[in-house]
Amino acid sequence: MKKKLFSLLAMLLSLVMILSACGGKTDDDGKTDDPNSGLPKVDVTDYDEEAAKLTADTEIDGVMVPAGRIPVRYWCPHGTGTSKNLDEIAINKFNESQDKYYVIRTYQGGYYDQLAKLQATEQADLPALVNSSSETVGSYLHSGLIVPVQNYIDADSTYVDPKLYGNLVATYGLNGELIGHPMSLSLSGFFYNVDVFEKAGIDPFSIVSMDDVYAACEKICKGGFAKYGIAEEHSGIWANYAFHRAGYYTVDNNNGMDGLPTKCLYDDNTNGFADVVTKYYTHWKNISDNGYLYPFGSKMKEDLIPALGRGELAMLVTTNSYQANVIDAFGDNTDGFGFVPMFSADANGKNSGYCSSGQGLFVIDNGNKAAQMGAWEFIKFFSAPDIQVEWDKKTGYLPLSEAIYDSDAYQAYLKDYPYVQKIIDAMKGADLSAFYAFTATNNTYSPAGATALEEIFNGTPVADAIATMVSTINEDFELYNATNVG
Amino acid sequence: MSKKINSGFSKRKAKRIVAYLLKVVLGLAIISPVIVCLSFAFKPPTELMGTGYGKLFPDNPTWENFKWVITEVPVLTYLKNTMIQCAMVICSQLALCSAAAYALTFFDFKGKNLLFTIILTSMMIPGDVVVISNYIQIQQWHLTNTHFGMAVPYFVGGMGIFLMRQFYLTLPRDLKDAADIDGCGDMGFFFRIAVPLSVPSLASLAIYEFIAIYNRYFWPLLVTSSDSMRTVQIGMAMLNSGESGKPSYVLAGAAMCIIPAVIVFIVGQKYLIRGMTAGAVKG
Repeated sequence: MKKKLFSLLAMLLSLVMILSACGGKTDDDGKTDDPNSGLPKVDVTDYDEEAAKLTADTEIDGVMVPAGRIPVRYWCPHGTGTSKNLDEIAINKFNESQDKYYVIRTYQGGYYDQLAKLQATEQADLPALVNSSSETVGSYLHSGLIVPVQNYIDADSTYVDPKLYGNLVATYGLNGELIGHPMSLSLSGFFYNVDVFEKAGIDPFSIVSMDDVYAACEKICKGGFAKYGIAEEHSGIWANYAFHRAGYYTVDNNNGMDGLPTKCLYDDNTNGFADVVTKYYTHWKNISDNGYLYPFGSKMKEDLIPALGRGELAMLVTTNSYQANVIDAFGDNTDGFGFVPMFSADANGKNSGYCSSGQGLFVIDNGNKAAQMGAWEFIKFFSAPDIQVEWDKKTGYLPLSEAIYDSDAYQAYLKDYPYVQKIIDAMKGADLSAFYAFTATNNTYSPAGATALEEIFNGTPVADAIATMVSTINEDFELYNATNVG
Repeated sequence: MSKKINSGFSKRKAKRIVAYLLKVVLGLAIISPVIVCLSFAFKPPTELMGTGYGKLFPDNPTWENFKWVITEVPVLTYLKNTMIQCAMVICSQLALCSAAAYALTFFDFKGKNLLFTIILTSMMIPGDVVVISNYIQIQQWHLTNTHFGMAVPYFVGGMGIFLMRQFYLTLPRDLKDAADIDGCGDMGFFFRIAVPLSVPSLASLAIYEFIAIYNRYFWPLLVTSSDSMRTVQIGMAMLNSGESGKPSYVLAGAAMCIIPAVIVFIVGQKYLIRGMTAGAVKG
């Protein structure tokens, strides 16, 4: 008995030792990351530039950096195709354009792989620059890892305000001050098959709310114009985009602007939001029950985009950044598809803003201010209209500003892709009301919406699925806040 | 009489043919993802996504996808790094796990059962739980971005010790006693008798580790920072990442990367099965 008890205690002790080793590191630099006090203010010019320069050619992350340069390590989640574009369009040119900094880009997995690595890496080994998705701005804001880009803007007398589109400032900024700098802009919405819509006699741009989505699906499927009316990429972010389009915040603390969220608002009916959420998910349930939905969980590039190209599917909810694969699916039929910006969850909602999707660049506090300044110089270089136009043409991303949009090169590009003009027009007509919630736990916050849809499609009552989603998200908020604040 | 024998023979033959046919169909069904992967890897992106959707074989087979992968991703470097990891971890596991298992089987010492319990406990902790703490430790040892740093947390494992111990338990105690009487010490018994007899278990441990290392993604991503140190699964993730990644390239990359794993599995599958079942039935 004694022996067994001793064995049990030993097991527990070894478990505790292992689990305790997984605890997060404490922030001991005294810097505030509480958004209540605004973005942290840092003197970004206080450093010794000469001391930061390499005294000899040095191999860093597998790249030989010449002597006399300040190495700027850049972690990115771009895989092969996009990273090649990034190297060709921006990084190689930047490294050749001056003799002070040298950017070294390395792939670090997906957005959340990269974030996990950033949070577990010792400060001296951190990069000076990263890029990540617009949905993870909150994670970077609340992480204490970054030096907000606004500090560099304020300190840089040569900086020319590029007049970024408003929804970008709303997504990457806090009260107009930039947390990170937008790098690529895309919009959520749906690709549609032009033939299917023409045969069904529906104007795709008339689909502006979830009610319209259901009506279009019904008409398309009952009329036999396509087997499936709609498909959605497996994620919860689309629901949030639709809620934000309708003018609702999805989490408390002013959608995360005033501090870490403590609860999501899907079940809060103070302003009628809970009713909108219920109606939204009920529409999806009805779409599924009536057979209008392409099987949920199907793969984007392998199943959904080809189905759209074949005309088996009429609408595909995602972002316009999938353009390259959609073009492949439509082959020679280059006018066979179009894209409509995100519909609203509520026809009677505010419906005046569009969340921006895409990615932003963030300066990381790696303790090396000279390298961080190099990161800022690269951000400026990459945001210049001539570089951005090349980037947009290669990737299908939208322009970040009017200056880029107005350039001759971009206008020529628009002639090849006239549908993009409609997206830009819609975005330009939008106000700044819509932005993705600043949560530090987007890796669980967004997928919870996809899980709710799965449950609903599998027969769980809508109210129960929403309750489970709310409970999951709130538990994650509570856990994160308990371990990261105070 | 002869008719009866002939009839019985042909019935048996027919049964065998049907059984073989069933096995072939079952085998094809199981291997179908690999066949689809290989076939689709030769389709141009526009054919895979559009005109040729649903067709098993390509209308316009092309090597372009493979060329693209080789040009864009240093697959051979990634394969080399993966093989180095496999060699380091497998050699270490075979040496350390078999030695530890031998001690736990043949030596009597205080706390032996407790030690074995702790080893078993380590098997119950998912790898994901300790990956960050391991990374912090490797950083403190300044071993990031090295082969040694990538391999060291896996040099010994509870699974290997358990597997080898279970095999050693099947060795007759009389064999050890006879060796003792003949003056063969523990080192002699271990190297001359126990290890040669445990080749199937060692082989199965090696194959098990090979597959685990080959499929590992997050740990090598965490502990390496340069592209020249990356492994196969990271290369696959690079091909598949983002909205612009094309399925044709992913399939071509997968077709290239599964070859070593398939060869190892085909060569070693009998050892894998024999090793896994060793000790399951104690005589």
